[in-house]
Amino acid sequence: MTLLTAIMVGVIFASSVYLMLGRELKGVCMGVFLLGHGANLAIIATSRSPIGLQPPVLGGHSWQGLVDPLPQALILTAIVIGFAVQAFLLTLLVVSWRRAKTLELNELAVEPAH
Amino acid sequence: MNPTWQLTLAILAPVFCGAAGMLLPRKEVGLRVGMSVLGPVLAMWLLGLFVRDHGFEAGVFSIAWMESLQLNLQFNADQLGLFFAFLVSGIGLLIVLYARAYFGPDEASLFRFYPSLLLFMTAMLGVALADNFVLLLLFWEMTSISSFLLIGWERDDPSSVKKAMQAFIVTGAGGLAMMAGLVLMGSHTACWSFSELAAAGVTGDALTTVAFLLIFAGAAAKSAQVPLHFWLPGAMAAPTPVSAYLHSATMVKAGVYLTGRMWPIMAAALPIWPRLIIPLGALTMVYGAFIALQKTDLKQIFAYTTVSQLGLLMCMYGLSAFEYHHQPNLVWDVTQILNHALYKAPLFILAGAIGHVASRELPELKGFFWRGGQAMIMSLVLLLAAYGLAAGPGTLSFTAKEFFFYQIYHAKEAIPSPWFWVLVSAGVATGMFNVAIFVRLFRTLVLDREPSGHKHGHDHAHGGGHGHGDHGHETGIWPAFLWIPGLIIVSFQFVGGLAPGLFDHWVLHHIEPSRFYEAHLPSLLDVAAHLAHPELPLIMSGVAIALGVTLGLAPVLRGVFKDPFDHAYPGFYTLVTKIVGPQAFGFVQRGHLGSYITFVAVSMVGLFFWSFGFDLTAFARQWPEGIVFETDQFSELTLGVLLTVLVCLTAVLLPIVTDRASRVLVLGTCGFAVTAVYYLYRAPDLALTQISIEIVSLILFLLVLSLIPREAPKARMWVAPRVVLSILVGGVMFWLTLTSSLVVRPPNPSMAVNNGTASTLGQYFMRNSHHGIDTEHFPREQLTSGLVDRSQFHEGDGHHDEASLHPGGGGDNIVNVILVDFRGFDTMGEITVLALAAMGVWTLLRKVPRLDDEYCSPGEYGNDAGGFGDYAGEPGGLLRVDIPDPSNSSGDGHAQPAVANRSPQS
Repeated sequence: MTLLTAIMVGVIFASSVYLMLGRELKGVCMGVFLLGHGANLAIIATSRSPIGLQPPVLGGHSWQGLVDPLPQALILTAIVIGFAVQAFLLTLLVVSWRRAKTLELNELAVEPAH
Repeated sequence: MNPTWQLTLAILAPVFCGAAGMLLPRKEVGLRVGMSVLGPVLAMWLLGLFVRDHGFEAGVFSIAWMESLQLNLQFNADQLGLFFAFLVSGIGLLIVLYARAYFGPDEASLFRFYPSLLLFMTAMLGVALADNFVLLLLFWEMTSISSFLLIGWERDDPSSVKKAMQAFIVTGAGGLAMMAGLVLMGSHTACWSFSELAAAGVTGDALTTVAFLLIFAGAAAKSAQVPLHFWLPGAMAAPTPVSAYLHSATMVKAGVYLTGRMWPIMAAALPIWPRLIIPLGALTMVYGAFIALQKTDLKQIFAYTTVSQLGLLMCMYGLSAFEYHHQPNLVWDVTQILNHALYKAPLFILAGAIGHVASRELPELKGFFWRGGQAMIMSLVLLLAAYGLAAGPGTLSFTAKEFFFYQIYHAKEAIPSPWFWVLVSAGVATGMFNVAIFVRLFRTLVLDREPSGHKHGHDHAHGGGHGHGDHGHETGIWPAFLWIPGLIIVSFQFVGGLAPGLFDHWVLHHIEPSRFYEAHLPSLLDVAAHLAHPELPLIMSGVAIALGVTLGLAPVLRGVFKDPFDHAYPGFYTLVTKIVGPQAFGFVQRGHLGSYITFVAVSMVGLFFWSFGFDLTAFARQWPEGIVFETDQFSELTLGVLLTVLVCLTAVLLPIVTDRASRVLVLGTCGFAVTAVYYLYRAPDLALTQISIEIVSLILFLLVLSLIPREAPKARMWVAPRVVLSILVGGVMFWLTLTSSLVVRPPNPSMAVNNGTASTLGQYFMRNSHHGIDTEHFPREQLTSGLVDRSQFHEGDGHHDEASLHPGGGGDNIVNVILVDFRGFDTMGEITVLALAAMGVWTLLRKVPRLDDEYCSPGEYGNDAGGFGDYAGEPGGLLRVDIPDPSNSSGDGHAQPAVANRSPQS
């Protein structure tokens, strides 16, 4: 399972870096969202292969035989913060179109002509 | 009283009084002066009590403050420290009175001036008494800050502010070097105070030497050693009370003081001590005196002689590395420091006083002595102090200079012959220049009686204005305080020179640690006996005086040479702010997202391969062995493979698909697949959270897509390099994920000790999350407060094995317990981020500026202040934007203003 997750992380990171290197703002936004998925998967991979283990919920059982809860706690925070970043980025997308009338990064970087 | 608190209170008394003075009404000048006088008086009183109880060799007192930061309230109240503390508070008291006379009854100036001055007093008292490195650094930087505030007194004068910045940058950079040095010294020797270091002793190894060099750089910058001296003449932009106090008598001595603190610890151990400090000090000494002779402005003259004297003091500590008769070759260093304060502070005080009533320019002061009673007495005090500057016989200064010459003389065996004579010449030259300055002052003020038109204008040629207006003709007692403090201070010079026994008994006896030279130089305080058997030092003094008088009368070396270092800082400033800075900024901050990401990605990949030494076979060797394909639960693994294929497919498709709605759906598919992966990882919370957020963000994205135009796909650029870099990053992340997940974690011993068998953080949380305690017998309050012996639970709960649970979070879902209990503050931070993002979205979407002037003028925004109210009533006002007309997607449609009912206001 770890190998599979590592493959997913690698592919997602590659794709997201490719998107972020582009000059299209929408693509950059998508790249950032993908990056979040990739980072979360990389974190959850550290809880090792879950096969044969139980979710980290104690139902009066012993704590042995459960997956590591720490990566999950980290990711839960990361998902929520990632959503905040998403919302903000999408807002920026709208605002840059309204203000600058372009979604091209190269054109956004140019100083506005007065 | 606890002696440490006593010293702390003494240090803090001035700044408290300054703060209290700020609470007084502005009109209450008298009260304000009284309150400010109280600061140094209280400090002296507390120090006096301390000395009465503990004497001058009390040693180290400490109270733990922040031990983890190596920061303790640790003071070293030895003779050197107490001497400085008394000097600072004593001269400070007189300066407070002088400032009242200098500024006149100017309420606004005094209101601002006294707190700054008293802040400095506290800082300087702290520097003098602090033993702990970090504490010293704290006060050291406080002196720089208060000096900055006081030099930039004329806040509206750009040149004054520039001078303040110059001083702050030079001394601040020195302070940074010193911080590095102190931290290095502390971490290298494990001693975080001078007294500990002295007890442990230092060896002359390389790290200690580097630490010393860094500390000394800070000291040299503060004490204005060549080539960093230029900030001190620039600091003369400050009002004269500040110059007299900070930039002659006290603050600039901080570097000398620090060198004196280090001397007993390091001078003998570090071979670089004499080799660095003697030449630097000697050069500064001669250079400062030489430039001082060229100047015509009184404050500039005295500023450069201060540089010179600071060089002399440094040189003195350099020479003290040698031995003479098996004793350190250090002759009454505290007397040297005291001597300088006793003539330099009066010189500045009188320079300000004379500038106040006439001018500070020498050519305009011809015959000033004869311009009435006040002028006469001011000239007299100035010349008395200048006589001290010249180290004329009969002053303490003469004795001090003789001591210095003796030091040079005693170093004869230690220094190679040519260099010894260079040093002798440097000493003579410095004395000569100082004598010449005195002769020139005397000649100008007294002998040149030609009428000069009685110019009473204020001098603004050098160092800018002084913040005093036309209130210089006050009546009453205060005008006399323009010169009384100077007279009081300078009188000690003559007591020390003419009645050395008395002075020795009252002052020197207490502050000089070394009584060694009394035995060896019994006649030194007795000039007459000394004259009968002249040695080299006396001959040096004689030559210096003879040459100096000649030079002072000769019409040479007047304003010929300018200090080339005057251009050092402006040049540096221009270089940084105009040339290097913008270039570097433009290079780093390109404003293109692509270049930033390229930089990050390339560094990441580069560092990764560098860590493997660019040896690709290393990967094969390090291939983790723990990769096991679990076959017993094949169905689950099949699901994993399917999800992997799905995630990879969507991720690869995303850059390829061009239709925007399809892209969003592909992104959503990827997100749902990731959700499923969380499910596989036994993370129900993650899966639930991710799926709800995925749905919301999918809707959000589609909504946003409807707000921005459909753009014609453009030719992709730089595809090949992008692909290569992306694949490299992906490969690195793949490798890092794989290896970091499969690495065998060693059990954490500290966790094991604290929590029985828990060896990883995750296991710690698991064991401590459960509520499975018998809460009927043990109420939760007792559990959380730790009142109950935990060992009882193991028995009462029936869990005797290793897997038994500890009380703590009180929940079954471990992830939830971590988030709301163990790491509750993280969750609070998370909520804060959400709130900030929400506010950001709100702010950005709130105003919809007109489309044809997207870079709104301030006026436009000003008129829009209540903009949101306009939209509140509109349907969908918040997100009302230009939705492109599908029939007109070429861009023309966007020329229509989004909100038609708003007309331009400006």
